[in-house]
Amino acid sequence: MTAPGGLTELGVAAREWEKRVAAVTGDVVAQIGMPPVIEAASPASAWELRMPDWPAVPSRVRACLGRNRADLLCDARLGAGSTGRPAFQEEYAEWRLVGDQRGPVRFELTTELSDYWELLARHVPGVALEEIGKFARAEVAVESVFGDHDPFAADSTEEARAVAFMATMLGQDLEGKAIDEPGPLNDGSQAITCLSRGDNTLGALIRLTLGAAGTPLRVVDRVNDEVRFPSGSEAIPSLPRGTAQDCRNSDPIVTERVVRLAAEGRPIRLDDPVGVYIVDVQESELLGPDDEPLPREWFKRSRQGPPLSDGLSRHQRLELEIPEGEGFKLADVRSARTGKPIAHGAQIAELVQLGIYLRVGERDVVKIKVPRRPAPEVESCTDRRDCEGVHKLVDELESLIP
Amino acid sequence: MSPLVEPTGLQRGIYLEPRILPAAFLFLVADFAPDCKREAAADALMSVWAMLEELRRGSVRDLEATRPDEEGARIDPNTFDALLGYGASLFGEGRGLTRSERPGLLAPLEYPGGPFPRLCWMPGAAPRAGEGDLCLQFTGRDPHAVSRAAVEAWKAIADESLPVAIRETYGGFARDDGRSWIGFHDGVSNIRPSQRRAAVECSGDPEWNRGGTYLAFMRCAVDLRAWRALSREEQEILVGRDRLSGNALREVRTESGLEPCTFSAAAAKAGEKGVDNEAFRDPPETGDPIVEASHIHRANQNRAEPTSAAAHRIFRQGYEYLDGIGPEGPRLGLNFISFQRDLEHLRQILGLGGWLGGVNFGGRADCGPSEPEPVDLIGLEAAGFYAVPPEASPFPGAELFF
Repeated sequence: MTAPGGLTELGVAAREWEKRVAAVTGDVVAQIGMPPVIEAASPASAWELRMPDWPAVPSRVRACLGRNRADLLCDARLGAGSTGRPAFQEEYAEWRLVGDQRGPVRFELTTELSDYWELLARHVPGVALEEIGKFARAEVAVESVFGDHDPFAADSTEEARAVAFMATMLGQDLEGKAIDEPGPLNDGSQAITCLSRGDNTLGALIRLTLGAAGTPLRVVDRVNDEVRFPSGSEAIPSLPRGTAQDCRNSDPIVTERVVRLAAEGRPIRLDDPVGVYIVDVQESELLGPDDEPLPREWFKRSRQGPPLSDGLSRHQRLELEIPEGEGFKLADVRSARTGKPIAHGAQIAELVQLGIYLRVGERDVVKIKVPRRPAPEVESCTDRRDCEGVHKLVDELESLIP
Repeated sequence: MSPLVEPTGLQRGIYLEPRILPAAFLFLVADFAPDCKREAAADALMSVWAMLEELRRGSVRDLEATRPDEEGARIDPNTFDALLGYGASLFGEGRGLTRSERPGLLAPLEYPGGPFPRLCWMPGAAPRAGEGDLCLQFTGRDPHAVSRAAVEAWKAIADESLPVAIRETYGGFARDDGRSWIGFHDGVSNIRPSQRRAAVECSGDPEWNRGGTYLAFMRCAVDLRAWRALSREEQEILVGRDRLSGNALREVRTESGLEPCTFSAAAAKAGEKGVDNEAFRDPPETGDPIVEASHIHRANQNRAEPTSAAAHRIFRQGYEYLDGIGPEGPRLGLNFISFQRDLEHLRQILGLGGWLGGVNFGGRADCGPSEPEPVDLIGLEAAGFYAVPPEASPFPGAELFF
């Protein structure tokens, strides 16, 4: 199994990623069981590509608060820390917007999983430091990544490095429990390194995929009695509790696709390398002062290793900055779809499409019983109780913002 | 001035129930005079809308009794529906025509090379063609009904010297054979009736459009000569369906020429109760990259609930047109009309590379040697986005002015 993006920097520890994926999968299976369509999948039985994809901009907060207020809050910062990001950036993508007095100058977005970065810190701490230095565009002090722990000391252990990295960079223990604030090299004040939210993790992704794969289903349409596959929102209430969140972008899309594939009796597996990838960026939607789209090469995609034989894009990081000497900055760029200047990261994140790659086999390879249920009513995301929580959080945030 | 009455739901002219569309269509674009004030704009709308309501009930102003002892003549009632929309320019800075700001995505479509990556203006398309302060969509039982409504609107404006000018109109008609000019089934995979209201109806943001919708109008000229130069097999591959039966393609064999193969069990009629006709109406992903690049798959990549933002679900309600036949052949195409709760969905459909942002109609941009190259089939003669507030008195969207 290859590391996310096909990256090779784990070196001799490359197999640790495979072990991590297996361990996380094992944990999920212990909780919700092994879906037959997953169990039947191997590179020989599941080879056709499927790619559920979704926009990187969070939809739930926009549904609850409206676009303008949501976009503002996604970038909100209190003091040195980042507030909008952990609160709202929930689409397996997190970003920061770097600005000066005139407004935004640089946008950085990552889809890199914290599990992978923990392994880097654990096994190749020097590589981790070097890469984070590239993100921060400065040499980084060891303590700003590993805290009080010296990862290069003779008595340093893998476990100690992992604990120190997770505590310093993500403010979490190895179980993902919050123990502190994330450090400046991952909270967006100096850099953004990897995903930090608890539901933007490898575990969440595997849980979502297996939960949907274990829930083959067909529904009877409420209007015309037609028997059909359920939409994601119709299927999610049937999934094991906590495996998918409706009203996100990612979960209903992945759920719908995987539930349908499972109901078709196809073997399903997450493609190797497992990861969340940037599959499209609508560069032409950002216009410079001359009203022409920004050149494609200004959108720097990175964190992908040598391309694999399937030729699929597996970038995990995007940076956009207007090159020196062009005479304008990101704040002078206008969104073609709104006509308004770029003031928020969400205006760029909405142009970034993310995806996961699945490999599936032929129909009816797995003999499976597909229950048929009446299609449930689906409530608008704007009117759901989830929004009450968002409103409460926003009220607290807005009372703190000067 | 009439008192404002609470909005009561979507305006007439949006046909969510499964039915054949009214036969005739006329789209009218109008602008307020440059020096028009908000009160005068509101009065003009009130007057025109009142006239249209009377006309709908069968009363024609020119046919009212004007001499003693005569009765006014009446026409058949309910022969047409009128729908009023507001374009981006109405909200223009400095005009002061509305009490509210322009909704973010209700943006002008006019910019160089635009408005969409692969769907561009036809040579010679007039500036702002299809865009105006206002639109009126007339749909009715025959060309006479919708034409009369438009002419009666002009009369009302002229008779009362209202500060609004009709700039252009675009006609069209519904086909009763379920096909388009290119000869294939059209609208088969339109959004299910049970999902339409959720896909169409706005839930706020801005509040004045809660319960309303957004209309996208795109008058798409079709290059029939280029289309007819393709073989049946090439056409089927670009569309994704068999030309005669409408059955969706399962795969394309390329061993000895192009051989499109359909789902064999897909002969059921769309909409038949209790029948599994999904492979006809709503074909599954096939795993064949040639089929996946066809128009029907590019235009509709998932069936997620419209409440899921990433689903990009819209409700289409198109009308064909023929502008005459000259030495160059017929000038024809489709008045693409879609209703959606958020214009972002149409933007994404037309912007994302894997959807319709990658090619003009269908096919793979990097097609293999035996595949049909993507054909530039469609160009825009006119296009505009409009907010369509809910039905209200004295006219839809009155609260924008009062």
